[in-house]
Amino acid sequence: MEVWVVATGLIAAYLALTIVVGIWANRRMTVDVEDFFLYGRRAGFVVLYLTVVGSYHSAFAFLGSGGFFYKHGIGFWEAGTWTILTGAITWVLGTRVWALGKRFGYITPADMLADFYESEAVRVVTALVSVVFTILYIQAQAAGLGYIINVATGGRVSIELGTFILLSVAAAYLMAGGLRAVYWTDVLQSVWMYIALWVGGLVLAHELFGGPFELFRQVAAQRPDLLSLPGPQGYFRPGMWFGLSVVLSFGIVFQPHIMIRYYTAVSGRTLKWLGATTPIYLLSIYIPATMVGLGGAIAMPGLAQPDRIFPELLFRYSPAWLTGIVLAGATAAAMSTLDSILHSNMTVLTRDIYQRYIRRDASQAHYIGVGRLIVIALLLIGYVMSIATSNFLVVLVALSGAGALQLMPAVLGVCFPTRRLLTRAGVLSGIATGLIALYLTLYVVPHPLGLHAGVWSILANLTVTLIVSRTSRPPSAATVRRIHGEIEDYVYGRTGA
Amino acid sequence: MHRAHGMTGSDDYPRYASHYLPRTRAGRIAILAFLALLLLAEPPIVFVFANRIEPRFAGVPFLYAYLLVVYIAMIVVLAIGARRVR
Repeated sequence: MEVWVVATGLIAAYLALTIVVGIWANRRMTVDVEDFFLYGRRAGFVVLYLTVVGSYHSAFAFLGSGGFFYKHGIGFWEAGTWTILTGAITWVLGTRVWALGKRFGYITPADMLADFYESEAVRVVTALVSVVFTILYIQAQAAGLGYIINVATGGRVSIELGTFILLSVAAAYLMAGGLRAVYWTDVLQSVWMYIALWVGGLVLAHELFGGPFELFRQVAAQRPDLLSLPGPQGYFRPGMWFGLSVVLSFGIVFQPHIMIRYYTAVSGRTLKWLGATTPIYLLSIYIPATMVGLGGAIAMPGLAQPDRIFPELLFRYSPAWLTGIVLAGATAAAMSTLDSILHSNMTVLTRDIYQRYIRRDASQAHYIGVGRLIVIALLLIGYVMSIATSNFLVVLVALSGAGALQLMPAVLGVCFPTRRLLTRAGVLSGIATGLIALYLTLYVVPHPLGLHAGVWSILANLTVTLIVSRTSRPPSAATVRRIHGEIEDYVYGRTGA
Repeated sequence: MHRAHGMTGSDDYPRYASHYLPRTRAGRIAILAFLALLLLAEPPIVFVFANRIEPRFAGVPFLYAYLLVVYIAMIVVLAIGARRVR
């Protein structure tokens, strides 16, 4: 049987399975906003673990990371730093977000920030930053999905049609079952993509080099420039190394699909253990990516598009069944991120914009219906953006992360009580300054002094936030006592007031 | 109780010790251990000390093996911290 038939068949089987899971989730769903948007705040360790890692790792983990090792060498192993930092942040910050969400009924990040800073402007700005920068993520995942199905079918299904089919499936199960469907499909997707990437990487290493250790020996002999910093093209210099550590940890954590996951945990203890253990999955998935990228640089040098190294190797050197399983795994990686972002954007737009400013006191069923319509709109926007532009995946991811990173001072000001309070004027001016600085250091003077644009932008943001907060009106004493008191109680078990 | 900066009027603000500084011994040890390991995986240490291919471990270049060891140690610190720190 031809490779494309097997690959397409396995992807179709995988998609059918996700739809079945979506229908199953729909049958368990109640007409309740917290159930639809937040899984009823009942997510246990296993489900939450697999949905967090699935949401974190996207099409980039499959396509972009191998391409990065292929092009820039071993420097991409720095990924371990940001994946572990993500775990640490989840433990320290996520547990606090969870505690406040449970106590005060927050559903979105903007709920929490608007409540503390007593500002509707903060709510709207947070919602806009959350949505605008994660739409770029939808674009990246959609483009990856289209490419995967185009490759799997041997070019018989166009990138545009492939993108549309896979976006539609993700939107269908999301609309059917809400966050429950997203979580359950993420469980399937995360397990599938982990196994697929490891099996694919190991099989290719054995087929091409006789094993992973021999692979490294041959890379050292033939391309030693791939095994040291800053890499063949000088990408991984100290400023970029440090900047990626910050942007791809803090920046991703502050994206709404991760922040909302914190609200859904059944307990703070669940989140603490999640933070301590998710780096194991997040980090180890880059080991087979190393084999694919470095091995590919020896076996298939000169690829014009390094992102394509994994599927190119599979089609040339692996059996059809493995190619199918791995490409279905790549589909799972992209869809598990895509559905989470679609869901979070739906939640933000429904809760922070529609429910707040358009129709306040409608029924729960009404808001769920509006959320479903918003998913369709987001799907169309993501589709149009994905076929209109095509850029290197990691650049899109970094841009998304650096945008959401601008929420960091505001969130820290809520979750970490100190004697100096941040103010609404402080965080709003800080976010505006940070976004301007991000634009300037990404496009006008890219990465000044070799330091990643995300770092420049957050430094500018923090500076302005602190200065303006010293000269403007803080939240009321009652609000500070209520929210910071809750944090003090939660973390230390007593009020420090 | 103290009055927050930039505030006029008679509102009294609660006063909390900074949450950026751990208050327990276990917390301080966990934070220091994690940050020390993080420094080992960041510039300049990783560029000056670890940026080399030799010696290799079962064919794996030094930089890769070095970072793997540091990463594992960081995860161990997180896991121990999750057991012992509030």
